This record gives sequence, structure tokens and C-alpha cells, in this order.
Amino acid sequence: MRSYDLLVIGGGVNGTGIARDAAMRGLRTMLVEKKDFAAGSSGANSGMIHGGIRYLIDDPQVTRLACLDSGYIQRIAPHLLFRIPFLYPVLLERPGEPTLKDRAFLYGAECYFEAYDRYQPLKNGKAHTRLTDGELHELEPGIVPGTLGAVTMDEYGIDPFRLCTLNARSAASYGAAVRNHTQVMRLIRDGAAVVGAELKDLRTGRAEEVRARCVFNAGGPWAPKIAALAGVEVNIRPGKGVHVTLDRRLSNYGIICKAVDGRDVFVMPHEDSSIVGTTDDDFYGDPDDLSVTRDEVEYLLQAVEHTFPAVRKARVLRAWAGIRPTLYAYGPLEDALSRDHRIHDHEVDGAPGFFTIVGGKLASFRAMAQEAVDAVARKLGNSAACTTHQVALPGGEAPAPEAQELSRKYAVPAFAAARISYRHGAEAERVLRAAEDEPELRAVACSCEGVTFAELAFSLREEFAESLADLRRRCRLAMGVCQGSRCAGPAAALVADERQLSSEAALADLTALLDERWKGNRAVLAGEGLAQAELVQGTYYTTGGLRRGGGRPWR
Amino acid sequence: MALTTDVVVVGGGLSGACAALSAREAGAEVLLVARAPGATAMSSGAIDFASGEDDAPIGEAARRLARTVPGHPYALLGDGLVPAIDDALAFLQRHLSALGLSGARTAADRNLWLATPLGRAKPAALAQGGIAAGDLRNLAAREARLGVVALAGAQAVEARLLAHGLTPLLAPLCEAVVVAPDFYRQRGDALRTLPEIAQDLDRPGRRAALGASLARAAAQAHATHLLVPTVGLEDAVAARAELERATGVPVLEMLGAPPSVPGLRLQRALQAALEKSGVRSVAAIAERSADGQVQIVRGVECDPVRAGSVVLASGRFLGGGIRCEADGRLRETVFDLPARAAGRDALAALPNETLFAERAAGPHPGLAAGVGADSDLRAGAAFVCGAVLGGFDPARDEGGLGVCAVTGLVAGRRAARAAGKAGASAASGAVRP
Repeated sequence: MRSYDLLVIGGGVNGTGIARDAAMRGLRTMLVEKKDFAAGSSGANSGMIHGGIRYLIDDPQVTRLACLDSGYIQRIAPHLLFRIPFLYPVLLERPGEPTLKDRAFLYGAECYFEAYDRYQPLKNGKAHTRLTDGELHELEPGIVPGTLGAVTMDEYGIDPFRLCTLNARSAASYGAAVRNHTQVMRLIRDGAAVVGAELKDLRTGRAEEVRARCVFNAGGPWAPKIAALAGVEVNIRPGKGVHVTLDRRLSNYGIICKAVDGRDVFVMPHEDSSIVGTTDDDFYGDPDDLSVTRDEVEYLLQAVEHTFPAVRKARVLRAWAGIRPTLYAYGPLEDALSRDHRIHDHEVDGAPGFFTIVGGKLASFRAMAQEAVDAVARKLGNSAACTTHQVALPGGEAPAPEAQELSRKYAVPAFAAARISYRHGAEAERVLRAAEDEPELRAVACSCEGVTFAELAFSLREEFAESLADLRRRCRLAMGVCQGSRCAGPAAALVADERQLSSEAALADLTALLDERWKGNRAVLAGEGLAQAELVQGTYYTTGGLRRGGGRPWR
Repeated sequence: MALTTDVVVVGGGLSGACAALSAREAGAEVLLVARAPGATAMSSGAIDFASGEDDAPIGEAARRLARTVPGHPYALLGDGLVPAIDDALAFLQRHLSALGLSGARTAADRNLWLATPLGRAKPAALAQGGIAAGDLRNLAAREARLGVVALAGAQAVEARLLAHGLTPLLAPLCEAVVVAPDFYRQRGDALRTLPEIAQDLDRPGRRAALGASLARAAAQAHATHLLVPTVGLEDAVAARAELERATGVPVLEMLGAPPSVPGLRLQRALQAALEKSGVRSVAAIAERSADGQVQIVRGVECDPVRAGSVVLASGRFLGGGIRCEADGRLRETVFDLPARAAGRDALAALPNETLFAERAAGPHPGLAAGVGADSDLRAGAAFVCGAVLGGFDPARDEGGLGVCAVTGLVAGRRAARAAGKAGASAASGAVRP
């Protein structure tokens, strides 16, 4: 039986972050995830490393930590971050006719943003500025006219899927055993102590028992379920957050809009799309079974329309939801809940060796992981220092190569080279080198998101990708405007080739990807989205014959 | 300037072209207005009418669709369905001879079974020559070694999945192997998409070079047949014959997924057939004029059309004939005819299970939205055919372009007859452009 110092359960940003930190401190570490890295909450957020200006008054420590850690994340994964300046327009009830109350509001807003400025240097952000109505419309002409002006603030976007994958890869490079598609079936006890787990590889069905001196539950919304395996109660207040993706960069800046109930809703450019979000509602269902309702989509679009009417011209590609594993409190409204995090050492609950982390924010994942591993290290007598804020994640070691140069050197289209350069940073050449021996890897599999077969092959060979859905997360395959109509078939062929899959298995994987894409499209089908759906159906079912089984259909 | 004609057809895909051609054959003067290529130009190269799980004859399978699929256009034709399919099969062969269409001759015949890009078998009554020659039923019945040709880039990757899927379908007599000719060997060749490869093969000398390369590769792999991704875009019949001469083995062509070379070829062949038959085509947007007639918009010009009858063949969501607004309301885009899906006039923005299934594979009655028609294929003042009719879903019924051909043919004839009755009074004294 294999034996580890630490078994981490959950491949979100916390789990992968903890595994990386522990492995870097020399702990023999194993990371298990039942689906894939960032397949849950860590991949269903706004894709921002933001400083949490919203928590400035009630939870200033949350804001400080998020800003501090944002700076560190920038240092270790500079290629993955992109700056998103935000605009906070102050709308008037009677356009062009500000009242004293409106002016007082703008003044108050500016004071608030000024307080946030103190934290901006931590994440290389610029101080706020105040814009007149004219200046605001020079930047974003689509905002409703006659505002009192706006205040700006600096934030950063990130590809959260890659962030988690890179953490997992980094952990593996320091010797951690990394297993996605592997579920914990049972925790092994020695008396009261949690000393290991029975694992099941969900692809092969193979079971395995491993020993671990400590077990860390980083299950996010699944944390209560995992804790129950140890007979321990972990209480969270799950909050459902819905986002919609638009087919284009509708704005150059993030825009903070007011929803009908006064909540802030953002529209922000993200890679080649825009993201609108989010909602925050208490959630009582199964985190494995999330769906989005018409109300939620309409609420978000209406919120943006109020400030930025052009949102109605964009095509809504899909709607998606995730669950925040927020700290439990009875009483406050969802938005007022603390975004702080907590690390439970369940020794006090009669389960020594078992830990849980809940709450927190994407932007402070690294600091949370550090705190988590500190708790484990104390128990195990490990005194190595945390270095996760100093050592770069894969690809962050050096500046990313220039796209034109990559394009020339490896004979791939410049638009794809640019995306490889963003997603892989200093590793971009490594990704493309495989195409030297296998020329077909130069081909573009997904022209919406600039994904070459070389990048898919790299993820299959080096990044623990096993399926098309895994490739979607790592390379943005099928995440673009065509939602997989062009790329899914060719990519399925590559997966089959790399993994020596039978035709049946390859087409089952294709079906799973199409189902997953359909789930997000289904909630927003209208306008051109229906034409796109018709094309997907035509490609895979009419022309591809995917609904037919593999048997011989003729007499 | 007003345009006068007996029949105006809105839409230039397969159903619109069939309507125009059949109205012309019936003696009418026809004007065809098409905005842009639609779903027909993205089709696979096969023309599917109907099939069943049991490999039934096409007419029998079509009658079953008429009986079992609520609102299926075949049901509108009543006892005329099978004769209409017979007609359509002959009609397509006649007008699209440039494509070398082959397959069923009458509705009593069974479907061809064609290899799909995913390595499955797709039933279709007719297919373009090289594609029809790849009938799997035929191949599986003989001792053969089918070389699936991997040319370059994405297509080369896909070819492996295709060969893999075909192996169990063709066993035990026939087997499929991947054949990689030494044709595209430049660094940039991997980036070629299939339409680009097809265009390249149309250039002087290129097909000959491919033929020589294929001959070597086929010999090396002991292939008795070659399945190539494309033989070129233009004059596929001659192109295929050239490759067969060069390689000495039968050359078969793959079905195309969008952007599909055989689909583009079909669209071009339709255009050529329309020209040959004397149908006047204009690239324009058709819309309803204030007086309830048709007007066409080209750039900044807007011309009224005086027509004895109107055929609507504007397609569904891809073609642009049906649109679903953000509030879910369904709309027919030219005449604002009432459009429905599964009996409802709106697709709820959160589609429930009756309109859109939870799985991508469906069924999705919401995607079969359309205007419907009476047994005369009339809706309002127009005759309606093809995808805009609604009620059929090619992804599940395995009858798509065939339904367009059958309804187009019938709608065109009826429109011509109706125009003949109305013609004398409506068209007299009008200015002909």
C-alpha cells in the first residue's frame, strides 16, 4: 500500500494549491479529484483575481489578503493574468440632472475607492481616477448617456482552469502523486485517527487503498460530504452563482452595473468573450447537478442593460453556475456573508489527522494554501518554509515568447500562436516543439479559440487531460462562439489516438462533451444561438451519424 | 422597378431550387430570390429521405415518418407521398447529373449506407457519385482493403478515427486501414482545411500529382479501394475518374462536415441547373411589402415583385427563415406567418423538456420549428417547402434534404398551377424588367 504524508481531496484551486505547497515543502503528497481540476467552483467563477473591494468595510482583512496574494499570483503566473480596468458609472434618475444626493453618492463612492487605493500597490494596480460623463463615454460609448461620471478601479482577470492545472502540474514536478478522475470512496481509520483512504479510478473502476499521515478536505461545496466520510460535520452556506458568456468582447473595460435589487453585477471582457455575473442565492441542491433558470439569465442581462444597453445586441453563448462554499452564518443576506476562509483541524471533533478548508476567494488561494499546509506541517513536524509565492508556476518562469516569432518558427497561424503564448507562457515553445516531428499537430483544431492539435497533445501528454472535457478546461476547446461545431470531432479523433481508445469510447467522450456544451446552451437558446445549435446537430448527428450505434445497420 | 413573374421563390437551397425548377418545368416563369447560401451548402453530399432502424425501403420508412412524427411534412402529402418520392428521386438525378448522383431509383429501393466523418454509418437515398460509390453495404460484401486516406493536418487526424470506426462495420471480409500519401509535405500543408485542399486540387497539375502519390501509397498498403477526403470542388465526376486512372483502384469520396465541400458542390450544381432551366435568380433579401406582396432589397434598392404565386423556401434557423426573438417568440421572417414548435408559438428562454431534451442527442422539437402548411402546402398566401415548414428534424428523422426536395417539387408545381389561374389578370399590363 502506498503511503504519504498528506492526502489532499479536491482538485480546485485550494486542493491544487495545498498539494503544490506541501510537495514543495518536501511532504510526500497525493492529490485526488473525482472529476478534473477546476471542474467545480474554481472553474465557475468570474475568472478574476480581484482584490475584493466589496469587503473593505466589513472584512478588511479579506481585502488585504486578496490584494497581497494577487500580487504574488502575478509574480508566479504572470502570463495568465490580464489587466481589467473597471468603470463604476454613477447613473442618474433624471439623466443629465444630478441632485445633491447624486453628488453625495459620487463623492462617497470616490472616498470608498480611495480607501481601496491603499491596497492597489500590493497587486500592481493603479489608483482610482474620476471620470466626467464625457470621459466615460469616450472609453465606453455604449453606456447610457447623462451619467454623473464614473470612478475607475484596477483589477486582473485570469484563466482559472489553467491556474489549477498549473498548480497540479507543479505539485507533480515536486513529486506529488496527482490523480484526477479519482474518487475517495471511504476514509481509513486507525482508532479515531484518519490514516488513509480507499480510492476509485472512475475511468477504469480500479480501487486502491492509500495511507496518509494527514488527510486534507479541500472539497469546496463537496466539503460537507467528504467530512461526513470521517463522521465530522462541516457547515457551509452554499451560494449559487450564475454567469452568462457573451460571444464577443462587448466592452474594453469591466463595467459595474446595478441590478434591479440594487446588487452589483459586472460585465467584463474575458479572453475573446465577455462574462456577465453574478447572482448569489442560497443553494440547497446537489452541487453535482446545477442548472440555470430563465429568471437568473434575465436578471443578469437586465442588470447590464440598465447601464449598458448594447448587451442585448450580443449573442448569449451559454449560462453556467457554480457554488460558493461560503462560511456558515444564519441571518445575513447572501451578499453580506463573509468571504473569509477557515481551516478546521478535526482533532477537536474526534478525527485527528483530518483537516478541512472552507470559504475564501480565488484571489487568496495561495495564502490559504500556505495557512493550510502550515497547520499540517506543525502536526508532522515539518519546518520547511513556504516558497509558493517565490517560485513560478510552469510557464511563469520567464516572459512568454512573442506570438509572431512563434508563428514563424513553428509554422502555426499567428492567432493560435498568440493564444498558446498566453496560455503557456515560457512553455509555449515546448508545446509547439512536438509539431516538428508530427506535422499534423500544427493544424488548428478550434479556430474560435486558436487551439492547435499541438496544444491538445501537450495537455494529453503533460497535463493530466484524459477527455475532451478536460481539454476544454485546459485549452478552451469548444468554449468559443461555435461551441464545438468545428473542433469537437477532430479533437475526439486526437484523444482516441493518444489514448488508444476504441471508436465506441471516443464517440462516448464526444457525446459527453456535446452534452456538457448543450447544457449551457439550452438555457439561452434564441436568435443566432439556435442557428448554431442547428449546425452542431447537423454536424454530429445528421452528417456524423452519432446517434446510431456502432453495429451494422443494414440487412 | 417592379419585377413581374408567374412564381417567385424565396430561398435558394435545395427546396427553393426544386420548387423553382418544377414550376419552370410546369411552364411558369420563375424568379428565385436568395439572400445567401444556407444549410444546403453545408450539407454532407448525401440526400436523405427517410430510414428506419430496420433498413426498410425508403418509401416505407417515409410513410412511417408521416405516421409517427407529429407534424411531419410527409403527412401533408397523404397518398401522394410515395409517388412524390419517386418523382423527386428522378427529378434530382435529371437536374443534378453533373454531380453523378447515384443510389435509389425509386421509393421501393433501400438506402445507401455511407461512412460518416466520425466512423459511423449514415443512411441516404442518394449521394454524389464518389460518395455513393462508398456504400458500406456493398463494400462489406466483398474481400477488400479500404485505404482511408489521411492527407494533411486535421483531416489526417480524423482519418484515423474514421478508419477505426469502419473496421467493425466492414468485417470480416473487408478491412479499413489508414493510408498516408506523401503529397502534402511542406511545413504549412498541415494548416490546409478541406475546402482549401479541394481548391488546391482544382489547380492545374495538382490532381495528377496527388494521383501519382496515391498510387504509390495504395500499392504500399495493398489497398483495393481508396476513400479520399475530397477529389476537388469542381467537376467531381471527371476529377474522380482521373484519380481512378492514376491509382488503378476505385476512388471513393468521404461525406463532408461543415464547411462541406460536397455541400458547396451541391449548391453550385443547383445554381447551374437553375440557369440552364431559365429560372431567373437574384441575390437579394425578400420581404413583405406594405400591400402584402413581396419586395426585394438589394443594397439601397427596393423593388416590388408582382407574382402570380409565392413559394417560401427560406430555411429554418440556419437559413434565416425562422427566428426566435430574445423573448422566446417564434417568427417567420419574410411574411411574419405564425411559426410554431411542438404546438407552441414561443421557445421559452429556459427550454423545458418538451422543447429541448437534456441531452444533446435530443429529441428537440424546438429545433423543428416552422410554419406548417395545409395539404396543398399552403400557409397564408404562400406555398411553403423545405426546412421553413418545420415538423422534421434531420438529426433524428434521418430525412432532411429529401424532405426539402419532395416538398419543393410539390410546392413548385402547385405554385405554377395557381399562378396559371391567377396569371392572366394579375400580370397583365405590368412592366417586365
